[in-house]
Amino acid sequence: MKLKYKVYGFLFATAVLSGCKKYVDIKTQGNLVPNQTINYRYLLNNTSGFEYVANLADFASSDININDAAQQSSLSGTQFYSYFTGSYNWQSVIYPLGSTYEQDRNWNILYATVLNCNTIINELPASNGTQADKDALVAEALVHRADAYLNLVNTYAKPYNTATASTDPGVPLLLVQTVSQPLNRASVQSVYSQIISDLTTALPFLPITQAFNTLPSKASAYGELARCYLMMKDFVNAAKFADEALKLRPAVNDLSVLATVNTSNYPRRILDPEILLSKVPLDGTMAYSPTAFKLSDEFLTLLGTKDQRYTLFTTPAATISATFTGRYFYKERAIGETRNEGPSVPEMMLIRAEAYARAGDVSNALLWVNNLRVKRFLPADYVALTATDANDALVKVIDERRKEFFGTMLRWWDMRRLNNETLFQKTYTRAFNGATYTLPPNSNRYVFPIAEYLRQLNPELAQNP
Amino acid sequence: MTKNFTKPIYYLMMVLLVAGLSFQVSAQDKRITLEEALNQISKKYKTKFAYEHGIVQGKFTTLESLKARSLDEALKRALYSNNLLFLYVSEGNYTIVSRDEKLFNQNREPAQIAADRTDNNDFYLMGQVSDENGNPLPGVTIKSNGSNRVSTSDGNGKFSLFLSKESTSIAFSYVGYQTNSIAVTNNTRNLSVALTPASASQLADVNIVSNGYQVLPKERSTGAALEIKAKDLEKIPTPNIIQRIESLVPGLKVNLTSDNLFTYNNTQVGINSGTRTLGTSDYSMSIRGTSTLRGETFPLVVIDGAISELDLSTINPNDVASISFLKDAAAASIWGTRAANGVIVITTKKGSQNQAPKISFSVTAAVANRPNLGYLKMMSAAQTIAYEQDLVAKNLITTPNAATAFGQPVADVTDLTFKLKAGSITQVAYDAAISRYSAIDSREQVSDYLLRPSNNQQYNFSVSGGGKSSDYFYSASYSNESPYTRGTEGQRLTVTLNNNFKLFKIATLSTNIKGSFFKYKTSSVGLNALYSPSATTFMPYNQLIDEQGNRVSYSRQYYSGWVNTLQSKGYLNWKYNVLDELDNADNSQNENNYSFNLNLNVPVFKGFSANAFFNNERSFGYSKNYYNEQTYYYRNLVNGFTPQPTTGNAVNSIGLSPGSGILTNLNTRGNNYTLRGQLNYDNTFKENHQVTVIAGTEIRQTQLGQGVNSLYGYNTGTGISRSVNYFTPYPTIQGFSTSLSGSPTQQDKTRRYLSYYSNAAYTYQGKYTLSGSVRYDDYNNFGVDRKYRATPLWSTGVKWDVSKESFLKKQSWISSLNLRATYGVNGNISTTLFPFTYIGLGSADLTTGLPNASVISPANPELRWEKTYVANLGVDFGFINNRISGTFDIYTKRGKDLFYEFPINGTYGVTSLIRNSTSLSGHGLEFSLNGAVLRSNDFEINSGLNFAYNTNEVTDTRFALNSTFFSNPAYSVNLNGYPTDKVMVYKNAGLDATGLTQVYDEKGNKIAANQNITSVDALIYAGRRNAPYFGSFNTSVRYKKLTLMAIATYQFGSVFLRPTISAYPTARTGVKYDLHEDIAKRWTKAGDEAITNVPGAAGTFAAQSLLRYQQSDINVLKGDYIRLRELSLSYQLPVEQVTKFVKAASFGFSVRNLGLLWRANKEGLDPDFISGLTATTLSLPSAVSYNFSLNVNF
Repeated sequence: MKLKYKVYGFLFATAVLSGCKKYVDIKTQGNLVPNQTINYRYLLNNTSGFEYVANLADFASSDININDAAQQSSLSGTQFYSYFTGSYNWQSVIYPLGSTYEQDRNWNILYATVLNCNTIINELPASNGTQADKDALVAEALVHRADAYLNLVNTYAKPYNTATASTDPGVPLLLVQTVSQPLNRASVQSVYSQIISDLTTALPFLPITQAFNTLPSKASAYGELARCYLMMKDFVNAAKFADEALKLRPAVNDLSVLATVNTSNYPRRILDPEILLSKVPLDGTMAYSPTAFKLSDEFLTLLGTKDQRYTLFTTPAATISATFTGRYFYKERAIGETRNEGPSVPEMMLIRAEAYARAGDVSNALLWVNNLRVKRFLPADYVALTATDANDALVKVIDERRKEFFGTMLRWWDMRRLNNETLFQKTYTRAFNGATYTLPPNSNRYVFPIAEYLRQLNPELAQNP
Repeated sequence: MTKNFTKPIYYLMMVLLVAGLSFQVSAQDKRITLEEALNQISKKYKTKFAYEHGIVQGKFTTLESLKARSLDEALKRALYSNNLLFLYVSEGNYTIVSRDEKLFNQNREPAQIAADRTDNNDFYLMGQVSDENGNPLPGVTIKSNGSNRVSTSDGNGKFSLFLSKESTSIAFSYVGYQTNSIAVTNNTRNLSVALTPASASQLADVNIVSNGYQVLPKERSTGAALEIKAKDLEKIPTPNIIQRIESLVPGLKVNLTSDNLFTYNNTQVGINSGTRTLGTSDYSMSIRGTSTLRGETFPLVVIDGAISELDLSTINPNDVASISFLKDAAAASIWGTRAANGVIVITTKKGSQNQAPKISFSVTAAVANRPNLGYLKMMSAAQTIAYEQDLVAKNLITTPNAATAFGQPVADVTDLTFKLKAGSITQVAYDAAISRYSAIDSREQVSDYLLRPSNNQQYNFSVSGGGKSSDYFYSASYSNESPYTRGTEGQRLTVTLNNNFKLFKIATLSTNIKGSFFKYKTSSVGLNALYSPSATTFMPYNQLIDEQGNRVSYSRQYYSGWVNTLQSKGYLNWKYNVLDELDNADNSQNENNYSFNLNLNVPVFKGFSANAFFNNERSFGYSKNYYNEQTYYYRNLVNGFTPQPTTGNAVNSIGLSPGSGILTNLNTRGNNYTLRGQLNYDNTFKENHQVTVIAGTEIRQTQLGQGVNSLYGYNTGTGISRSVNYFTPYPTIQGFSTSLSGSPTQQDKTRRYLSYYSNAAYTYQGKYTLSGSVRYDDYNNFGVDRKYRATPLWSTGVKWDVSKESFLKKQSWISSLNLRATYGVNGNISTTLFPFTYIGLGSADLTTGLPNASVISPANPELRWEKTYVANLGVDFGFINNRISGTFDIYTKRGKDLFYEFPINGTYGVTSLIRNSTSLSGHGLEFSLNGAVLRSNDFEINSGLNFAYNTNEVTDTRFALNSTFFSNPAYSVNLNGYPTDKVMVYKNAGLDATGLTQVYDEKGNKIAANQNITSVDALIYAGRRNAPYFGSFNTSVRYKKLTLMAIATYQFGSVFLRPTISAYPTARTGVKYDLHEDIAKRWTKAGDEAITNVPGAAGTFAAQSLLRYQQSDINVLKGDYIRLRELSLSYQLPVEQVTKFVKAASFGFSVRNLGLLWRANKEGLDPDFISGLTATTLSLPSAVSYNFSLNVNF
């Protein structure tokens, strides 16, 4: 009998031991459980989860002109580049439904960033950590989300127009990370309001400095705000925030002392003092055949050959391919890194300049332009710019933006926002594989189409005209 | 929710316990028959009694009398009051006689008796009984016909008894063996008798089934389960059990996709994989087809009662006593969430009590020729050269330029052709080089230097036996294997120590200790590395060794013209040499696995017993790869991290000094345990009611850890390496800086499971059985919403033994006939899905070096088990004394809540989402038939046939046709109403004038490559990728001691796409040389479309055109085949005529992989080996292998 009791005792012990459902309340490593604030720090450290922005706009810009038959045939030699040629030729369909490339990776990558941000913004507050840490991390996510929406609204929606912004369709404004919400497009005004609200909410909690440009700091948020207000043509606010950014980050890389650029004498993107928030276009570097950016003659004339940006950041075609001609954008290969598309110090300076020009303050406008230009020429070649009147000053500022930001989407954004201003109105044309494409002022083609694939899954997502 | 559910299970257990106790109290003084009492004593003390039935009949004793402290006391209490005596015969064997019987009235040794009684009228007979292999058989009942005199054989099979003069024959009977009657005369003194097992084809042979938790008599098991015995496994002499079970079970499909036996192409456990990783390119296995779309598809493996996470190659096949395959819900649902794929239950051998040591030794050796490289349908050198010239002429390859840095490498002829074009070589020199190249066929060199005839050997040793209260089975085996890839080797050592102990005379403690130790060496150069299409494909004119006998090197990373200029600047030689790589490889892996089981069984009371079970399985893997400074890996890395100098010599930025190398280590560590408490009840009431119940609870933990690190500048002599910084990028040759790979990581994944289970069966009159099982599982990663995991998995079944009905009793030709019907639900899990936002931790951010994480999938609070509902109807039959026997099963499977990723709008942040979203239905049937065609003493023919049919259908309307489907129909997602492995293809309409593939649309119009297809009618459903009909056929012919056996496997009804050109080079993909022979037939100029279907290489839509060609109806081939898997000849050596020392010996010769007896395709392709040149593991059909084996038993 004694033995039996022992057996029962043993069995009971086994049952109790194994019956405890706490036994399975453990977490498997490798899957971070969202209850520790530090885990969101790790999430925000994931550069590729936040750094990518759209690259469609880069090809549509008037700074590039691919007119070599060799490059045209290479680009049309495979369907893969149809996103490039579709954007370059201002097509109304870029991702044909039914083709292998029906997904709009630009749209998807920006919304992937939005998902990451929303996850942090909404799940982080419930985690275990100090309020200060939580606020700081949420603030970073808000800046990234604002940048993603600014990119989206400037790619897939009409340029901001005060009169119609509240009715013009913007993009779906997802603020929570559920996968079942309807995807109706919010108005352009709502998207911009959200961007401004996100950035201003974030500002008090952002650090003055961060270890890397990939992590948002106060200057990043000011930069985004300046850029945002510029797109809204609210030059007063744009100037105000550009000033705030410049107070924190005034430094500009001095190209006047460089004979050549390479990885050892040009700062890395993530440490570059000029960059307020590092953002790179999808697909990265476009400096190799066949996607290398051939610069248009009109732009090269504008740039001139004395400019250090010509000397250091452009290259003869032979470097790219034996069969290409002309001159190519080369900054990425020269500095060994993908071009930055996030807000920068020169951008703040030129926003400042534009605001002065718009306000009629010619001398101050040119002061800011020249502040930048002095760093862009060899001392022997530098001549300070002057302007005859406010309009001339404005043209000079816009031209300077082209010279400073060529190869990035900012030129396309400028074309969009300026295409209804008579001073800048122009019909652009492209000749590609024997066909001619035109982009008249106020054309619907200033807005990229929404991929039909997305509309097939969610028909409430309205197409652009 | 869990609380609510767990409570009833506790109550149930408590009720069972209390029932057990109270039953015992009420039964204290119950009278039981003496026969029953003896049975209990026999069971309790593991003794055997021999007695005449008549002397115990009608006699009773009390249960109380059995509560004795010793066997002697129990027997005295039970027998003396009934006027019976017991005589000691040998250890564990007693004879019971009536007190009146004068013959055996003294408890003496038989030998003494013999000495005393020689003058009597009776005559004395002694001898020995052995089994078919000559091993002594203890406990055999020996009975004479003249008197009721009985005896039993002792531990050495020896027996002795006195017979009256009237006796003319004595009968030897033993469970599992045919009763043997032998005529005796007064002069017979010494007999040597060998018993033969009950006929091999008899169903009685497969009379128990183990489900891992309990062993059930086959006649009381309602489920579709099949047990394979050791002697069936012995027919195929491979060191891995996988090849041995290939043809044995209907419905089990084993795909052998390489002829490596245990040296797999991938021997590494992937810690982050949700499914099986080890050996996936060498074999796969499924029971009754697919039940999941994204979960694990491999059956659950249970070894000696515990779920094993180890590969089957860790098991020494010679240790296996039996393998049960649990196929339907009633058989498998006791395993709950892991049972949907079926369960394989392996039980290892045990010793027997009271048995002298049995020693067995075997050696097997096999050799096979090199595989035939010609099976890879490649272009000749001349065809390759013409192709390259065409690529250059059509500008599909950009000009390599020695002046440009970082140009892609090109093949030799391409290079020459460009040089000719540029005028840097003369036409004469060019023509000379081309004619030299055209004459080369390097495949012979490749075969000679990189392949070899494969061979393997196995040595196996085992000893088993037992004493009064314990038994043992110990074995050790060593195998080694040299597969056909030169430089790859594998060795395996296994040790098994199985013991059973009787504790305090009532409890049983079983221990299993197993160890398996592997050592692998892996070649650094596989065929795949040479031929997989790339810029550096090994062209048919490329040589390993040139005409002068020198090893030839090739440029791999960059264009050779540019690379050649680097060495003078201080760079290391940047050429790749295949044979040097082979010589310098130092790539080894050790893997040690241990597993140990403790199973304590305590009989509580009549019918009740309790089990405590503990299993621990540990594995330690270590693989190292040392790249010395001669290896390409090392030189490539150093050069890559050497910035181009403006002046002076280049210096590598990591600071690696000469004399050192790079060592990469990978450590894998597994530790899994199971702890189980179980109550068993097995009893018969009033003879007609038989009840078996088990109930238990189980906890299980799996732990898998993997650590990886690299040591740069490692010196083998000193053991010291250079410290490097993984997060500060080092300058590279390309001008920018990059981080070094190989920063140390250590991952550890612990998963826990908690289960409650119960299984019950009730049999009435031995004819009608009703069974049921229920199981509830809890898993730590299915943790947020408990309502989804509280659903129990259950099954129920009925069985009717028709042959026991009176109306069939007269039909003597029916030996057995059973009908079975079951229904239930099995589960499946995913270890990579989580209910919360799945944030995966990365090592370090590539850009900033900071620790990072990423959102892998959004939260899925509704995550739950996959469920498969299975209904099964079966019949087991045996006719004409079981000379014809078989089983037939028909089943349906309905999968619900299966994991699948459906596309969602990218606006949500991800483009697809895995959810418990889809359903699948399947059905099939299985049939096995065994027959003894001819049976006589000297001559015997036995044949067996297995047949299975299985199909499935996706039943989810969301699997609709969409654009993704039309762009890749053959490999695309599922389609509602079609099987999961459907193959949809385009209707080929030949080539257009530009050499691009056209296909027909739904209206029969020709569609060009740049037009999209929008209707399913434009496609053809070609069939299924996996054969719906498959099985095996075996037959064996025995003449005296010589047995000839043949095993064939077959499959019908599948299709496959003929491997063809994988890709043409384009400006975007860069240089890439595919060598498939179809390239030689491609369209090259206008007019070719009249003579070929193979599309040309140029044009915007060349890639789409090629894809449509690859996936068009003209490339669909039938996968039907009949394969002669094995022919074997075995001979039982007549050792008994030579020596007494050796009990039995046999010699076997077998030939495996004899190839296809018949195939439906005319292209000479083996449907099991259809991977093209692009496959990650290039598999060549197995060459014929010759095996020799010798078995000796002492």
